Amino acid sequence: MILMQTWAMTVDAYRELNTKKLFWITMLLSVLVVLAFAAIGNNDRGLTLFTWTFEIPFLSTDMMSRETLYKLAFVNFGITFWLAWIATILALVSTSSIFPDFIAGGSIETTLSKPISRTRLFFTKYILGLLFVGMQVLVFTTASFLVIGIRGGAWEPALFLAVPVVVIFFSYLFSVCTLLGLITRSTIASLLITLLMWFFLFCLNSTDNIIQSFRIANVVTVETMPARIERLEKAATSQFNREWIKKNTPQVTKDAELDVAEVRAAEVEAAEVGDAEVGDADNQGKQVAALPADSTSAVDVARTASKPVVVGTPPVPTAEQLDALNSRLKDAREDLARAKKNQRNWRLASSVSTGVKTVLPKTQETVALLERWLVDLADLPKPPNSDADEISPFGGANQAEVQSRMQTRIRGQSLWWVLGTSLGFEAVILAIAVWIFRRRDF
Amino acid sequence: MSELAAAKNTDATWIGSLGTRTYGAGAQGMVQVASANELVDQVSGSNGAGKLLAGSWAIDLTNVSKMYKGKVHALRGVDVRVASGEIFGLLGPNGAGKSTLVKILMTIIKPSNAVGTVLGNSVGHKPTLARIGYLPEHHRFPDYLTGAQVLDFYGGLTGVAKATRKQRIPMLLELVGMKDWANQAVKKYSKGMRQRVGIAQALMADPEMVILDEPTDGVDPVGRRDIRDLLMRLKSQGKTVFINSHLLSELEMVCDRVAIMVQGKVAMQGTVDDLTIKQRWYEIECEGDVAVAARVIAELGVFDWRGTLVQKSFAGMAEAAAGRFLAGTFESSILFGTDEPGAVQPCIDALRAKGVTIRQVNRRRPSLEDLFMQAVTDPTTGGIFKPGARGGAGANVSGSLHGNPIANLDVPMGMKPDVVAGEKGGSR
Repeated sequence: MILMQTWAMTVDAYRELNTKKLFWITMLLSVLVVLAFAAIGNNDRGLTLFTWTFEIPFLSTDMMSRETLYKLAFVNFGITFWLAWIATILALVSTSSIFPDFIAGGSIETTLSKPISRTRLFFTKYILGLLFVGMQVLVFTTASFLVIGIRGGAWEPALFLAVPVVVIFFSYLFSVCTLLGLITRSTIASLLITLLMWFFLFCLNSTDNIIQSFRIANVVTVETMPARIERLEKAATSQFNREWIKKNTPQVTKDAELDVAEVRAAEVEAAEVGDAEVGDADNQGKQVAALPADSTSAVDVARTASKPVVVGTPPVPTAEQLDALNSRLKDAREDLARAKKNQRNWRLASSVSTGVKTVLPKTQETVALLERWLVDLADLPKPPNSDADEISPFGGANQAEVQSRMQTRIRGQSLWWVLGTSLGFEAVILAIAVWIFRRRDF
Repeated sequence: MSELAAAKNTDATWIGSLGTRTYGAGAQGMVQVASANELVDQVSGSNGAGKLLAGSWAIDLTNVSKMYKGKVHALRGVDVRVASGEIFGLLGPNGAGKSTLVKILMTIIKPSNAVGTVLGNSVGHKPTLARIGYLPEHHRFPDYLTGAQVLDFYGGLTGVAKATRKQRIPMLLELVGMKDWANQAVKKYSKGMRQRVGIAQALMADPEMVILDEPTDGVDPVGRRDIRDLLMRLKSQGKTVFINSHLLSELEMVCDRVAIMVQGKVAMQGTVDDLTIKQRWYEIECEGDVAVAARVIAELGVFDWRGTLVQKSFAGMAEAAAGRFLAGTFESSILFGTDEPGAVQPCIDALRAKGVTIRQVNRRRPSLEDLFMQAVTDPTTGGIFKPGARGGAGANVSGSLHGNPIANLDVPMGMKPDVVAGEKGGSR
C-alpha cells in the first residue's frame, strides 16, 4: 500500500514536472552550458575556445592541466554559477508553486481523503519536489562527466557528488519555500520571501567573510608584530650606524671596516625581511625617521648595536630625530596595543558571526564542498608571490598570508558544521511545516 | 448521454468485471439494503430509535462540534446516523456546516469534539478511508492530468492495485459518460465533465460508502438524471450513499432519509414521509365560487372552520394532527387538515349535493423544500436565519429524529405544497 501510494505520487510529480515549460527550458540551458563547457580548453599558450586561443598564461597547460581546468570550470562555473545560482532561481520559480497548489481549495480535499497520513503525504510531496533539481543536476553532471572524460582525459566519478550536494543546497531554500507556501498559500509570496532569505544568507556570508578576514589579519598582525619590530630595530640600527659611519669615514679603522661590512650584510637581510615601512624609508633615505623603536631604547639599541668600532664619540641624534622616533614608536606601540585590544573584539565578532551562521543554512559553504573534494590545492597554480612589504588592506598583515589562512579555514570547516547544522536548520523548518500541515483544517 | 445509455447496458458487465468479491459484496449489499430499509422503518416509527442495532450504521455520530479559530462555531453538537445501504441526504443553507461535517468524516477537518464511528471505526481512522469514495465540493483536479490519469492517480493513492486500476478506469469512465474524453487533459473539461470524472474517481476503489458533496453542481439536467440513476444503482449494490446537496428536488427523488442542518445543528432528520406525517392535508379543488363551497363545509359542522386561516400556514395542519379538524380556503380549493380519507367523504358528499363541481381531490404533504424552508425560518421573527453557523440557532433546532420540530412554524408566502408521493405523479 505504502509503495503503491508513493509510486502514484512519484508518477504524478513526474507528470507535473513534465508539463512545466521552465523545467525543459532549464534543461535546455543546462545542455547549452555543457556545450559551452566542451568548447573551451587550454594549450601551452592559454585558454582555447573552439579554434581560437586566448593567451592567458595563467590558464595554459604549463600552469594547469586540462583536467584541472575542466574541474575548476565545472565547480566554479558549472556548479557555483550555473546550478547553484541561475538554475536554482529557475528551480525555485518552478517549484515554489508545488505546495500552494497542493493545498489549494478543491485540490487538497481529495488527496487528504485518501488513506495516507498527512506526515507521509507532506514528506513524499517535499522529496518529490526536489526531483526538479535532482534531475537537472544529474543531467548536467552526467554531461559534464562525459565532457571532462572525453576532452579532459580524466574520468572522475567524484563529479557525481554534485548531485547530492546541489540537491542538499537547494533543499535548504526549498524547505523555507515550502513552509512559506503553507503559511501564505501564495506562490509569489513564498518565492519572493525565499529569494529574500537567500539574499540575506548571501549578505550574511559576505559579512562573515569580511569579519573572518579581518580577524585573521588581526591574528597575523599580533603574531608577526614582535618579529617585525625586531627586524625594524635591526634595520634601524644598521641604518643609524651606516649614517654615522658615513659621516666619520676618515676615522674608521680596519676593524671598523669589517664591522661596516657586517652591518651592511645585516642591512641587506633586514631589507629582505622587512616590511613596507622600512622599504619605503630605505628607498627615500629617511633612515632615522623610519625607526619604529622606542626613543630611548632606539638610541640605546643603536648605541649598543654600534659597537665601539669607530674612533671618537658616537653621534647623538638630534632632537628632531628623537621626536620622530618617539612618534613612530608611540604609533607602533599603539598599533600593537590596538591590535591586541581588537583581537578580542574581532574574536567576539567572529564568534557572533559564526554563531549566527551555525544556526542558518550555509549555502555557499555547501556548494564549496565540491571544490574542496574535487580540486586539490596542489593542482592549482601558485599565486604570484606577493611582496612581503606590500601594503595590505588588513592593517599591516600580509595579504597572501591572510588569504592562505582564509583558504585553510574554509577548507578546514568540518562536514558536520557545513552540512549537519544546515540540515538541522532544514529539519526544524520542515518540522514546523509538517506541524502546520498536520494541524490545519482545509 | 448516449454514453450513459451504453453504460447502463453494460452495468451488469461492470459489476461482474469488478470481480467475484465485488459481486459478492453487491449481493451481500442487497441483503443490507433490506435490513437498512427495516432500520429506516424503525427510525420512522415513533419508538424506532430504541430498536436500532449497534453496528448497523455506516455513520453514527454524536455531538460533533467544531470551533474554528476566531470562535466561529461551525458545528454545535451534531448527531447524525446513516444506515448501511441507504441514500442519505444532508441539506441546509449556506454556512450551515454541511461541508464541515463531511470534511470531518474524511479527516480533512479535525473536529473539536466527535464521538462515533464511520464504517465501524472511529472518526479520523485513516485506513477506513480506503473504503469510502469521496467527491469534494468545488474539487479541482490537477490540470496536467487527463481524465484517465486522474482516476489512476487517486486510485493509486487509495491503494488500488495497478492491474485493477487498468481494468476499472475505462469502465468507470464509460459509466459516467466520459470514455471519449479519457485521454484529454482535465483543463479542457467543462464543469459538468469534471464532475463526472470526480464521481468516477470516488468509485475507483469500489468503496462501501460514497460521500458526494454537491454531485450535481454544474451538471446539466440530463447529467443530473444520470447521476440519480447511478446513485440508485450504487444503492442496489448495497453501497451507502451520503449526498450533500442544495438541490432539494434531486434529494427528494433519491434519498431514503434526509437531515436538515441549520446553523451548525441538525434541525430535523428522518425520512421525508416521517418528517411530514403530521402535516398532510386534503385539498378539494372546486369550480365556481369557492365561498359557496366554504359555506357548505361550515354548515356541516364537522370541521373547525377557520376561513382562510390555513391558506398560508402549516400551523393548522399541525393542530389538526393533534386531533382537531381545520378547514379553510386556498384560492379555488378547500383545504382540510387531515390525511384521513374517511374524514373528507361527508364534505365531498355535501358539496356534490349542493351542486358544486369538484375538479379534483388531492392528498397532499409538504415537499422537502417546504421542510427546508420551515427549518431555516426563525419562528420568532418569521425571517430566514442568516447564513453561517455563528449565533443562536433558534429554539426550533432540536436535532430530534422523532419530534415535530416544525410545529407552529409559519410557511412563507408563495410556498406551494407538492402532491403526496404516489397520488399525483409521485415525488419520489
